[in-house]
Amino acid sequence: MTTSSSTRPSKSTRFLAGLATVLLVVSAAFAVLLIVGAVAGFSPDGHTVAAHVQVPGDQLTGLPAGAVAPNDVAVAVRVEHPPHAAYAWAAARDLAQLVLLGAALWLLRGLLRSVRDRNPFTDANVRRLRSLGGVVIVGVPVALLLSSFFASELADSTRLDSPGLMFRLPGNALIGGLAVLALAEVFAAGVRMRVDLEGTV
Amino acid sequence: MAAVSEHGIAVHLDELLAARDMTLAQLADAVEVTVVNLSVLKNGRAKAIRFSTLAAICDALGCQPGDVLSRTEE
Repeated sequence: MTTSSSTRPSKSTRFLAGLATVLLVVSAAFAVLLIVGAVAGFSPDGHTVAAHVQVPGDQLTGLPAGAVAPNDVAVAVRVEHPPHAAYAWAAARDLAQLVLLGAALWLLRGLLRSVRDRNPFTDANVRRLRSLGGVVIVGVPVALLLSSFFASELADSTRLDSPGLMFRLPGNALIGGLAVLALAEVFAAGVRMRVDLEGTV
Repeated sequence: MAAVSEHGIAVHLDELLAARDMTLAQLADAVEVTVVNLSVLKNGRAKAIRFSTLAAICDALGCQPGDVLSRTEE
């Protein structure tokens, strides 16, 4: 018996569902690597960590004519053989955003799998989209703030001049999150329509 | 006994079928609706009925829409 093309999930849907799973596995593996590294004293780069340091603006050279350097500049530097605590702070800084990515990927994976299985208009997907909207609107700023705090602690642990908390409200994330929440309500309407349709003879 | 939907609409398919000595499967064949869907209607679990379905049922049973459906006191 053959399956008609109208009931078979599209290639793009299958690809996206598979891609979400692969990205989730890679994220989880990277998180495990970070945690093991934090405990054992290494980073994914080996025995160096990347840290942000504050540099006086007058040390900047090569600026175009007419350009004025700010008072201080945050620069990313690599610290070789840092103290053990630096690995933990670096891991925490990266994990703050990785956990958020993992949560978003988990929700997207569930959504894509239901699309692949030709049953997207369900209460479960409405919950997934509402959660995803919450993750984006609330989670992204929180993760950025935590990440900035851990980066600051990392700089302190390596005796560098920390630029302190560097936080800007992520406007793109807020708009994206609102779009996802709007999509959740579209799905909620879709669920109601599907229930009505299924009760129609 | 007619099945009554949650909206207080009674469906009299059982009586109409019995009076004509007809089975649900035979009606489903005549109306070209699945037995499952017709069973949903017969048992009062349908939320809506298309005019085309209602017309086909009336044609098959030789009756009027009012013979198939009626409003009951809630």
